Amino acid sequence: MQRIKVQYKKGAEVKFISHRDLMRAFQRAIRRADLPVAYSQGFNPHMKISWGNAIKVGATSDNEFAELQIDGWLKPLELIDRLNRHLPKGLEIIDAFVV
Amino acid sequence: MKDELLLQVQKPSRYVGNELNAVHKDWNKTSIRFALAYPDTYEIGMSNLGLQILYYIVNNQPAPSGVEVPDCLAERVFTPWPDMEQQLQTSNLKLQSLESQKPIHEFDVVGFSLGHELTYTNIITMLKLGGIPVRSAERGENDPLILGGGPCAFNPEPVADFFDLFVIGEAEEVLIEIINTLRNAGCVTRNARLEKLSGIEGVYVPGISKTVKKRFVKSLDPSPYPLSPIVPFIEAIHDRAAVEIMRGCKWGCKFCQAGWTNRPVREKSPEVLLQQADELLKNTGYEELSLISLSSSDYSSIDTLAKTLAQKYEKKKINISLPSMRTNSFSIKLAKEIARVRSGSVTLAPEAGTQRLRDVIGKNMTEENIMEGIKAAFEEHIEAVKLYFMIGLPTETEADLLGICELATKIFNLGRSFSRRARITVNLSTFIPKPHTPFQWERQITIAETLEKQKFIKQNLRVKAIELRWHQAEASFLEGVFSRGDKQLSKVVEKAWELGARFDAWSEHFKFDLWQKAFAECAIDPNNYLKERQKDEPLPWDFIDAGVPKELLLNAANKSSI
Ligand code: SF4
Repeated sequence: MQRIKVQYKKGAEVKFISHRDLMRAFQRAIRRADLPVAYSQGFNPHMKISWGNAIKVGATSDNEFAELQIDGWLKPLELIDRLNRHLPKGLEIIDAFVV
Repeated sequence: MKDELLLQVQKPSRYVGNELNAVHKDWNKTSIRFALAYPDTYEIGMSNLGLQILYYIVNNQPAPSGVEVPDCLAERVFTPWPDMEQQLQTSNLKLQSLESQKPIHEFDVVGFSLGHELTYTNIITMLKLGGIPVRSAERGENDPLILGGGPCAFNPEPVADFFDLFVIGEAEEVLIEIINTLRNAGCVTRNARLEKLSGIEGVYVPGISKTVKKRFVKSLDPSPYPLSPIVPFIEAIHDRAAVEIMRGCKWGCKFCQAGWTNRPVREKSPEVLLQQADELLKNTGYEELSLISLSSSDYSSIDTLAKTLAQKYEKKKINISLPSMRTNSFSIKLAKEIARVRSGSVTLAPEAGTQRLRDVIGKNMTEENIMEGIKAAFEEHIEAVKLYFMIGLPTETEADLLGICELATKIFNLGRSFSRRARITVNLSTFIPKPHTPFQWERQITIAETLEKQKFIKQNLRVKAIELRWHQAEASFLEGVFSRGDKQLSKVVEKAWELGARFDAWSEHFKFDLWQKAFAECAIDPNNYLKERQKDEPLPWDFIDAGVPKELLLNAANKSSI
């Protein structure tokens, strides 16, 4: 188990997308990138990600955070590379580090 | 679109696009530009498989010989919600496509998908806001061609005056033929272009075509299918990957337009489906894969297909869902085996309350079938059952309505013997005699009759724990009028729009009094459209060959008049 904190950008292309919808877009990008993110147990398992506070709809930022629990081990740089290839335009991982 | 504007409206993300897999082409490098328009909200339109298929086909048309880059482009546009409509109007802005943010009058073709009669006023909204004359007759050389297709095009007459052409039936192949015709038509006049387009089988050009034959693709395997569909940010109504496993339905229920107009039955092969599912999931990241068709239980190898997929994607925690399965012990068992996330409810559509009436309407379902399926569901701890019935069916008597109450009560009692939490919902819709079905000559009951029947069932459904819901009588009335209507009705649509009718399929927006006023001002009695028609009387949709000869419909109709 490893926890990686990512800093990401919410760019102009997605500034009108709600936080909830961005979270879903993120999770789908993680699926496409096939990253080993940990899942919760139970009937309806979900990815173990904790999200930073939501910013206002309509605002851009390159200082957003989320923390991913990884099932196994992953180099932060590899995470950045793989995830950035799958995120929709306007979302971008700027930095990632093990916490 | 301006930020200040977007900040004023509900759900601004409906209007910005930029979703995963959306196609952004260089506007100036294309010469045949389609706006694919859906006359409802973004969330509804983006759940439409047809729209994604056509978007894919146009955007993937290879360049014609001698041209370097692909010359075709398709972009999307949906009906702005009334708050956005107002914003556009007060800021004097035009309705734009999502991708290039171009006003829709700048496109060569604006193609509307007609999925429901109660979206017709939204077409007017989009044309007006798009800067396009509403009536075909008023359009000039610089206006786009307005094209209509989809289920309602099987009787296009009520909206024919707004359209330059229609595609009847499945559009995959026709669309390519339209593109080729437009490529060759060069800069000749609009009328010459329409004349040429009317020569394509499946294309109806009002005023030019005399008859038209519906088109369908022969085989689904080679038919183009989007494997990188757009993945909306906002939760669409159907927010999942979908593979179409089959088209058509073998049952021929006599009220069902989809069943009669989507013939013949065609299956996609399991090999193709497995490959498509794989690509789709890889390219979208969806957590659910849905196998869709009109009646999935009839797919030859549904059992193996569903289990293979479930097994293959178990590790990835992808849920396989099977809507449109007949509820019986087989489907319950299968659902149990494949579903990771179990649905807590089953849906069953007996349509009529007695065996006699189910036989009349050709619904192949006995009470034994029904009870067996429901029992299997209760045994699997499913606690919610949704039942669908129609009222106003041909030959219906009080006994048939009482039958609905009895059947629902029986199911309720069975449910309670399994669990105290068993919940039954009865949904009533009003029977609409749809064109191209054996019931097309039947009458539709009046609003007063509908209300009376709803009340009768409410009174006789003694178990108050059974939830009873129904379609608004006035909405079904209007749907009946427009599905059976003729050319006269276009002025009513326009009038109702002027009076303020918008999003009529949304009960919170539907204002029947506006429609009454519109009919009155146009001096049209809508009730005439719901009357019984004589078998030898010409019908407004007679000129459309939907693939089923009238004699066959007549035969089926006679069999039902017991
Ligand atoms: S109602 Fe269902 S089973 Fe009957 S014809 Fe229509 S799609 Fe098929």
